[in-house]
Parts: sequence; structure tokens; C-alpha cells
Amino acid sequence: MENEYKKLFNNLNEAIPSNDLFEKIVIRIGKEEKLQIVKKRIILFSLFLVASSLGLIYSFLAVQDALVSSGFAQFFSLIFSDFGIVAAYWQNFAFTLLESLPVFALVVSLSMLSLVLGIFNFLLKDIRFVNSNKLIYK
Amino acid sequence: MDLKKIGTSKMLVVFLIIGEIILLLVTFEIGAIVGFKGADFSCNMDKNYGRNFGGMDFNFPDKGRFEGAHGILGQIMKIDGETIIMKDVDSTEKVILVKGDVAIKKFKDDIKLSDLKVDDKIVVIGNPNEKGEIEAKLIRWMPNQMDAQNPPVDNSNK
Repeated sequence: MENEYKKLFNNLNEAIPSNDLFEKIVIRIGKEEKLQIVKKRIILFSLFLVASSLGLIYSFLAVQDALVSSGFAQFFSLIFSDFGIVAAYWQNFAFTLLESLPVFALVVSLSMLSLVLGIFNFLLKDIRFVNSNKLIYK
Repeated sequence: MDLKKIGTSKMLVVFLIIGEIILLLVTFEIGAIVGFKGADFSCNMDKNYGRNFGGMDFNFPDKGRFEGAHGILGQIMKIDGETIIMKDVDSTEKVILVKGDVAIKKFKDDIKLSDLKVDDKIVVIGNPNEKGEIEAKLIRWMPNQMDAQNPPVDNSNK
């Protein structure tokens, strides 16, 4: 019986690995390493996104407050209530709006918005990378 | 290499850069004009602050930025003939001249200067003069919260 098995296994063809197996394994290890880094980065970006989103909400509230306290909102509302007069004195009105514009609050708010969009963009790229690699090596 | 694609993307970048430079220059110019007007008005206010508010040689408080020269939101402190003295949102007193054709509005109605009273909240759009005063073109009475919730009923259509 044992001899029969020996014969059988001796007659089997040896599995010859393909020439590029080593290269494939190295590439796969490289991708796995990158995947691990990207997964950690996703966690980090998610935390940044939450923090910057809170900052964005806060800065929007600050802009809203600044628009009212500087008088910009009230001046702007004149367009709807007294359009004819505003149109007649449009230069004075335009200067009024520019003078009362809360520039600093708007700059901070827009900077926060661009930060949130930037982080979101990076996060999406990383998530896409993880998903595409999962599909390839399933 | 697709020369057409390279040409298009490079042209787009060039257009974007030129557009941004134009936008930057226009913004700078607007800022300079608004800044000049504000500085001019603040300077005139400073020179005339004593005369406008008590006849003393008294310098107007430095807030670290220029005063709004064309519009004010604030409360009426005093009405003296054709002059309104009001306190703006920064608690700075300003002199408003109500001369000539000035539209004074309350809700949908045109009102007179005599209808305004001390402590009323108003918005003024006007032109600054060399005495540090603002010549009003439009004065709108602003409702407080209770007035805004219960505006007067318009019966004219009934």
C-alpha cells in the first residue's frame, strides 16, 4: 500500500512556480504595507474631519453673528424693502455694504471650509484606494 | 503626446492665473477706495468731534479701524432740527443731516423726521461730508423684536 502511494506521488508533476511569483509577492507585500498606512491615515483624517467640521460650524455661527452685529444683514435687507431708493443711491449703498462686511470672520470661515473640503478629498481618495485594493486581492 | 490636450490644459492654467491676478487687483483697488473713504471720513470726524459733540477740543476715540462713512445702524440719541445724533453698533456717536429729499420709511409707510423719536433703532444710508457728518438719503426705522412679530395690518386693499 505504501509503495503504491510512493509510485503515485513520484508520477505526479512538480508544481513549477511562475517566473514572476517573487515579483508578485514583493508587490503584494508593498501594497499591504501601503494599505496599512492608508488605513491609519483614514482614521487620522476622519478625526481631523470631525474637528474641522466642528470648527466650520463654529466659524459659520461667528459669521452669522458678525453679519448681524456689524449691520451688514440690516443694510442688505434694504434691497428687499427699499429697492428703488437703494438703486438710486447704489454707490452709497455699495460702500455701506463693503464697509460693514465682516471680512475677518468670512476669511476664517472660508479657510475652514476649504480645510474641510481638502481633508474630505484626501479621505475619499484613501477610501477609494482601500476599496479598489480589496477588490483586486479578494 | 496629444498636443491638443496639452495646449488646452496649459491655456486653462494661464487663463486661471490671469483671472486670479485680475480679481486680486480689483479687490485691492476696491479695498483701497473703501479704505480711503473710511480714512477721510474718520479724519473729518476726528477734526470735528469736539465741535459736533459739545464744542470742546476733544479727540474722537481711536478704535483701531476706520468708521463706516456711508451707512449706520444704531439708536437715536437726540433729534435737533434737521440733525439726528445717533449711537452706532460700536457705541460711537454720529451726526446725521436730514436735509432735502430724504426718504424716511417705517414698514411700508413714508414718515416724517418728527415721527422718529429718541431710542428708535434706524438704518441710515447717506453721503459723508467734510465736517464728519453723514447727509442722509434713506432712513429706515427698524423694528425691535416685538414690533417685527406684530407688524401693523395693511387695510388699504380691503
